[in-house]
Parts: sequence; C-alpha cells; structure tokens
Amino acid sequence: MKKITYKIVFYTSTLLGIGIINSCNSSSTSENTNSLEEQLMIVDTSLEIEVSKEEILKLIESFPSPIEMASVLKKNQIEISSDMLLPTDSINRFTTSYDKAMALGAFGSDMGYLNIYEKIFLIPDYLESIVTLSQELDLDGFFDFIAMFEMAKNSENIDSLIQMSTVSFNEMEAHLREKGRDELSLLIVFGTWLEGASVISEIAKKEQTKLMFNRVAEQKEFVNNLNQIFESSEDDYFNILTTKINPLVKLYDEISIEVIMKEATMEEVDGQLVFIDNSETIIHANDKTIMQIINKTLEIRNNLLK
Amino acid sequence: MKNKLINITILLFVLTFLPSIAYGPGKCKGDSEYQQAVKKMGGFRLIKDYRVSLSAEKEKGPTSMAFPVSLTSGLRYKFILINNPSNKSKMIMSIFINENKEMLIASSYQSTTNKHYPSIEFECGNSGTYYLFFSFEKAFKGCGVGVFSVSK
Repeated sequence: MKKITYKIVFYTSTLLGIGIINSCNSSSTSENTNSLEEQLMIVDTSLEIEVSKEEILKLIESFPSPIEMASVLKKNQIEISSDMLLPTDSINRFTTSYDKAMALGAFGSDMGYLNIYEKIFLIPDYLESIVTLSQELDLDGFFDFIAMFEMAKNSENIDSLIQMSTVSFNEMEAHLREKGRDELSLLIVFGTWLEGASVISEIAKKEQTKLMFNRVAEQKEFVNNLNQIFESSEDDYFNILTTKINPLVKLYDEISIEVIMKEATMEEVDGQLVFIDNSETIIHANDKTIMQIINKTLEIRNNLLK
Repeated sequence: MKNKLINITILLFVLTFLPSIAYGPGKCKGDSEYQQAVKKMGGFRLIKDYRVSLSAEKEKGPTSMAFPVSLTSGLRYKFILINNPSNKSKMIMSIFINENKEMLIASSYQSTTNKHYPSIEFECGNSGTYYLFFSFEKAFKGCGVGVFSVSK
C-alpha cells in the first residue's frame, strides 16, 4: 500500500453564479407549451442578467440521486418511517402536467428511500403511483414496470431494482432534455429535492443532532439555484413556486457555509486509487434558524405535495 | 456457388466491421463499454453513466468533456473508466472543484508515475457540486464510458 500526499487547497464555498432574469410580465396561462428554455430566452433587453439553458441543464444534471442521502442516513443508523413519505392514495390530487412531474420526482425520491431501507412491502404502492404519473405524462416507456414489480417481491433483488430505477429515471431525464422539455425535467428534480429535503427535515426535527442540522444547512446551494431559475421564468406556475420558496431562501440567507479543503490522501489499494478527502465544512447557523428552515421546508412540501 | 460465397464473405465482413466503423471515435455508442463498467461496480450502486466521445482535429474543437456532479460528504464514490477498443490512447477522468479546472481533487492518471488507473474511489468530505472532466492522453480523439457509482 502506497501513501501519497496529494494536494493542499483552501477555499471558501461560493454559490454557483447563476444569473437572474427579473421578469416583470407573467404569462396568462398556467401551463405554457413553450419550454422553460424558450421562455427564459425572452429577456427584457433593459436587464443584463439572464439564466442560460446551460445553467438550467447544469442544475438538472448535477442533482444528486435520492439514494445518496438515503445511504448517508442508513450508514448513520438513522431509521425512517413510512409516515415521513408521501401518501400514495388519491394520486388524482395532481391535476396538471406540472403537478404530476413534481409528484413523479417526489415518488421517485421515496422509492429511493424505500429501496435503500429495503421496505419492500411498501414498494408496490409507490411503484403504482409512478406507473400512473408516468403514463399520464407519457413517460412510461422508460420503465419496465412488469420487471420492477417482480423484483420488488424479494429483498434479494433490491440492488437490481435500484439499478433499474436509476437507469429508467436517467433515460427519462435524457429524453426530456433531448425534447427540450426542460420545465418538466426541472419540476421532476424539484419534486425529488423537496421530498428528500422533507425526509431530512422530519429526521432533523426529531433527532435535533448536529449531523442532521448540517444536512439541512447543506441544502442552501440547491435552494438558491432553484429559486434563481424559478424567478427567471415568465410562467405563472414557476412564479407561484418562487413565492412559496422565497421565505426559505431568506432563512437560508441567515446561515453561511465555509468549506476548508484540506490535504487529501491518495492510496493505491490492490491496483486501484483511493482518494480520501479530508476537507471540512463549517456551518455557521444557530439552531433556531435551522428549526425555522425545517418547519418552512415541511410546510412547502405539505402544501405542494401532500 | 462462387458468387454466393463472395456475397456471404462480403456480408460477414460488413456485419463484423460496420459497427466499429459507425461507432468509432467520435461516434461511440458505448453500450458494450457500459455493460463492462457495470460489472465492475462491486459493492457500489450505479448513479450515472457518461458516454464520452471526442473527435477533435488536434487543438481545434473540445479536447475534453465536462459534467457537473453533486457529491455528498460521508459517502464513498467509485468512478470506472472503460475505453473503446479502437482508442489510440487511454481515457483520463479528473475531478475538479469547478469548471475552470482550478483545483484538481482526484484523477485516474498520475503524471508522476505515468500510470493510468481503470477506476478510482473518492471518499467525499464536503458536499457540493464538482466537475468531472474526461479527456484522452496525448490525443484529441477517442471514446469510452465513465460510470459513477456510490458505495452500498
């Protein structure tokens, strides 16, 4: 085993520099057939800041998979309960294609938690919701539901089910991107994030540990990026979302995140390189603000999804 | 009979070599490379795959492909690289903290030892957006697949 000092770097985290279109006029329809990208290109020439398609795609592409946070929680032996997840009854509460896209993301997030925690008895109901929503959005072609239901019968197949779900969601996202349906992609990502943030918030509220409070604070970058993209849209639906998440953005403004990149260690283990990142994240936030963020996140999620 | 044999030979030749011509560097589909990479995940779960294809003529055109990726602190990630058999040089994957390649965090190629690694593992200490860069050593053309996975 060879140990090599790799790099020493220091930096303070900065938010992604996504510009804002401060759009003054909103469209008269709640669902516009133009893609979000097209809407965002209609920029008031008096304004200098705009959100490019690249920035939207960057956000969509870089969004973490729900199985990552579920894995973190499980590694820390934190239990989740089914009442933290979305109810699967009355799926018809999601009426517009935008609502459905957001819900599809949220149920996908819940599936990630159920899979990682191997709660196989709940998986069929969540798969059923994903079937319904994806059919209504004409996106069911990306899922082999027969195989997925079959896999969900046995916990030994859980890895295969996770892989198949991941591939299906990735392919669906690539298809939407190819077709220029960025608005649906964005709402799927938003739904995934909101549901995941809600689970983190529920656990943090219950446990009130530094670990969980830090996980809540870590959402700051994503909330800000999402808000800037929503703000730049002329679509009424996105304007409503902006109004809803603005108070959360303001709460996140009260906390700061400092990242100190420390010496990383590189080891060669059995012919493979392993990098151990020793960097540190220091979160400057008081518990009261974190609790307010938790409550606001849950309020938004329950209002939009429950 | 002779004509039939010639036709069968031509048909076999086309079926054998056409896919590699069609999906050579610059037109790499990457399905078989993806399958190979997935088999090498071991105790990791698939997050995403990256189909890399570069066909720049020397310095003209992009010589690397970049993808933003969110990493979560406390998790170990594995990045697996599979080269297309027609590549003249090996694919390199590097992780930077931003898209301007300001700070290198990890790489599958170590210039000090001139060694390429088919996969790297990265234990993340700081949650945030990083950038994966794919390129080819001393070359501007090539294709392959990078698979991004997380520890079980």
